[in-house]
Amino acid sequence: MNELVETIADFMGIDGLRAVLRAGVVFIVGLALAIFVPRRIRHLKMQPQQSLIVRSALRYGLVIITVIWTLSLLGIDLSVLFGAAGILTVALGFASQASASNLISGLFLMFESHFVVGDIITVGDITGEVTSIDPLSVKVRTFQNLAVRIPNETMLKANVTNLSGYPVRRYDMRLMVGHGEDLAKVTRVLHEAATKIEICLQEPKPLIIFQGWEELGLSIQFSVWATRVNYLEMLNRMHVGVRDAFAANDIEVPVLRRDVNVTGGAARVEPRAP
Amino acid sequence: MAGVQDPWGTKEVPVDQMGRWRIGPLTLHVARKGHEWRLAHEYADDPLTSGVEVEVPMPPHDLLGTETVRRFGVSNPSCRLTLTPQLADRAVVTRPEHPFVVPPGEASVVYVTAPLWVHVSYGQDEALLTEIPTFRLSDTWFGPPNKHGELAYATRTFCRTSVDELQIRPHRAHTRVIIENRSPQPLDFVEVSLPMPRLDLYRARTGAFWTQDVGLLRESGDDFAALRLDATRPGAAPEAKLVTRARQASESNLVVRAFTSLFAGMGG
Repeated sequence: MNELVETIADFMGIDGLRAVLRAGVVFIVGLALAIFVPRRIRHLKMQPQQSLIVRSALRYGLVIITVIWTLSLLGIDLSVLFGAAGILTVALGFASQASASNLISGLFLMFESHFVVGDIITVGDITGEVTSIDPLSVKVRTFQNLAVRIPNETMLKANVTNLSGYPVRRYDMRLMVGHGEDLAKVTRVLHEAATKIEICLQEPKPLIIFQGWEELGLSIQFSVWATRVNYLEMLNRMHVGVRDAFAANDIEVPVLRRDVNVTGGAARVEPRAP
Repeated sequence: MAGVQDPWGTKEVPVDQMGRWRIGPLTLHVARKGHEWRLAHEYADDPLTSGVEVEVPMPPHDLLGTETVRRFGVSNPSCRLTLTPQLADRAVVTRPEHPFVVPPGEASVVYVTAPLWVHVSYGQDEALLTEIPTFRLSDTWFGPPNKHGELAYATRTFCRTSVDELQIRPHRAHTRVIIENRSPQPLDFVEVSLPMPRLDLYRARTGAFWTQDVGLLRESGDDFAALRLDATRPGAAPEAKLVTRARQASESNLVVRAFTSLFAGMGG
């Protein structure tokens, strides 16, 4: 063994051997840190995606520092490497502008945390559940069960609505009643209809806004609240409930009618089945 | 065999027979089959519908055509069915039917009620089949409409101030709320959120159900109220016996909550 060390020392010189040993220690310690330090980050309170980014950045940062330090200890001139890397970076940069933009947008999205995996979001005309937030794109599963990939750059520029942001949601129902209707009665009937549907929240209270007289009648906004879980069921039941309540209380819902007058020629009219 | 009986407790429902329980507005049908229980229920329109009826066993009819029917597959051959009263599984927000004000420096006692839940279990070890409220209360949101609020049930109260005025209903739990206003401002009692999952249920000799008392204290110039759950028996029925323990244990008997959370929209 001693002979082997003496042979290497003769070949490299004693300083060279020390440099190699130092480089080896730095390399092993650096790699160990790159493996173990990011694992400790898991204990911090962060979203899973944020934690992944921080851990990856820390791991690759430590690896790069370790490699550069090791090479410099071995006496390798890094300026050549940096020069080559610079040229490569410029070439890659031109080639992957879109990817880089998406990558940086992804970082912003992850740290902004406007939505997380599992939330229902609307981006433009796409509505669906977020299945993953990746460095380059956000994957969404629509209600038609289509897998949609939205580039992070698009997500950053678009208006993103998170439908899962709060536990309760309001539904604005548009209604129209005849010009001659008693508005106090309409108000009472609407409140009663809301009370009958137990998943319609009593607080925040249902809101009735008379929006103005139109050609067909009075336009009304009827706003009711439900928990996110019951939202769809509530709005379906509310439409049925309001229609039934209007019918039971003889409240007219105006509909557009067209009278067709035939002024010339002959018209064939078929009698309607009884 | 229909009659006014105590609906709570254990009954035998023989195989291929069924039973019917009417507890206030709730009518519960239970059928026992070879390896299953079938449950169906319906509600009267009026939540204050009173009275109880038990008919076990009764001639069977097919529950499968009922909208609310649920089937429970079991291997246990026991025909024992147990109905136990319980308090609601969420807080109940009670609003007075008419404005109720406690003047400065005054204290008032009001009695509020909330529907009971029916805990349906079977067999010797009383394994849970389901829980059904005696009346399905409307949902409501207590607090701001964001993540800090809480889903609750909504009910209204006449705010009776004397126990003699109280109409005891067998399907509702009664709570004595002691409101103390040490503030120089009048206290408009707009609503109170009763933490039902943290209350114990007691039954008096009269058959009425009670929870322990709830105390609400508004200190002078304070934006906070202390909500106190009395550890002892209900003040209005001290002889009442404990029937069901609280679903959730309170960390202590003194629970301090934000005043605005207890009395939403409290006036000056």
